[in-house]
Amino acid sequence: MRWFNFVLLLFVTLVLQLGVGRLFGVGPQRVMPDLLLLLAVVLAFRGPADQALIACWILGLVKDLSSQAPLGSYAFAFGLLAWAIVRLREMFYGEHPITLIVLTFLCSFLAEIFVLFICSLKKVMEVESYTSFSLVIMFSAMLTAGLAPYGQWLILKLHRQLGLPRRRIYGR
Amino acid sequence: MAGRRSERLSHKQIFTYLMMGAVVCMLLPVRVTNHLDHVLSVLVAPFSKGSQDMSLMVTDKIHQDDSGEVPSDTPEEPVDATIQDTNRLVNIEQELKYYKDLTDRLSGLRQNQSLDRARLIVAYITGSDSSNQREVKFLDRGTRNQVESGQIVIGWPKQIYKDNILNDEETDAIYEQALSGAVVGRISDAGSWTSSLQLISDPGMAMKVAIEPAPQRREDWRVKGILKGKGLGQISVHLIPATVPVKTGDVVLARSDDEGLPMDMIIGYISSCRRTEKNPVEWQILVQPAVDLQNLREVVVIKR
Repeated sequence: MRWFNFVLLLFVTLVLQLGVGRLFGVGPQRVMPDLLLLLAVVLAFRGPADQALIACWILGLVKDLSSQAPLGSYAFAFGLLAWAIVRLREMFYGEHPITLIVLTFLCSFLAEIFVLFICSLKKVMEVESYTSFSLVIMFSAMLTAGLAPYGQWLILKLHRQLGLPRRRIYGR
Repeated sequence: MAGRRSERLSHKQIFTYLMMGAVVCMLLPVRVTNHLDHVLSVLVAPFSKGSQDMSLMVTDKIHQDDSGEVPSDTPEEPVDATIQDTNRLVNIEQELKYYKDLTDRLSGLRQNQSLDRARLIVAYITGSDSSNQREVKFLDRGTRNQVESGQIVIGWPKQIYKDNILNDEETDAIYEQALSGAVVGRISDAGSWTSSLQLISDPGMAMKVAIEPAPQRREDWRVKGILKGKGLGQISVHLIPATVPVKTGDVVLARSDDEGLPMDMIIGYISSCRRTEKNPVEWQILVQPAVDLQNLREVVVIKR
């Protein structure tokens, strides 16, 4: 993987997430998709195993630094989910967009629930209604999953610049 | 040589160490790790603010009519103007009360500064928290501009700042706009160049407030309570006894104190108040902010 180009792509994604994400959010709470997680899932699904794990961990760290979550929580969650995707990806039929959509939805939901749990444990924020937060997390996961095919299309267009293989890699 | 192990770390080992590092960071106290957040903000802030400004320019152009001019009587304008005027009326009433109290205290007790003498620091919103769980905005001012943790922040309705971007020297203009604005939150963390604005709807927010009757009710009472952000855009007020004649539309004010706010200022209006069987002695109050928290572009930080 070409790490310099990866950092550039990461920077652009972060700028979009921080600057524009809430403006175009959906609903009164301005729920926005998680572009960093979307990039992580696509890289874990398509990229070389070992490098994709590190790239996903870096994406999680960047999300930690750009949010109020305890440092390390998103990095750990993204790393763990990337490890799971890399271990299981050869079982999935990767050419159909539904696969990526379902995978992205599950990863987004699980990552946010994990971080919400960590935030509650460390008393970073008071959560009165876990049901409401879970609904928002699910809605955000649906938005992120809906963008997954487009994210994959973009990564495929940039596969040479990122140093990724054109076709999916099977096996570890 | 055969049998000699390579000293270079493999990608798997690096990933393992990184994950262990993440676990260690999760165990550290939050106050230690919060300082690192601003390192990234400094790099990203100019670009995220630029992208925000560009997208707002695009969305504003979409709302223009075919002639290319902004219609002078769009449906939005009367509503925003009414909110501005109401905010201004409430804040000026509080300022009048402040000066009445001040004249009573001219016997030599310690005098507080009013809003017009306090240092008002203009700051611009450069981005939002990247997660949906928190309501935090990032500002382009930090400790180098005397922004510190705990300072109260005032924002104003979108209609005012549309064509009027302020700079620090226009103190009179800042003061006039601040009177039409409302308290939107507090500085939760400040780095050298950037700071984090915790909005009143953030789940971690708690603030001392007072409720007074709406201006048109012409009643004279006041009750103190605690404002808490519930997340997801919801704000509630607690510890208001059910015997108080609270109604929808009543004014919620941020209470002045020695450290944050020099005089009471409006936060919002009561959007719903009801009693529940679970807790019949206390009102269940929800607050509608006086300013649209998601459309903030520039704010003023009050330095005492």
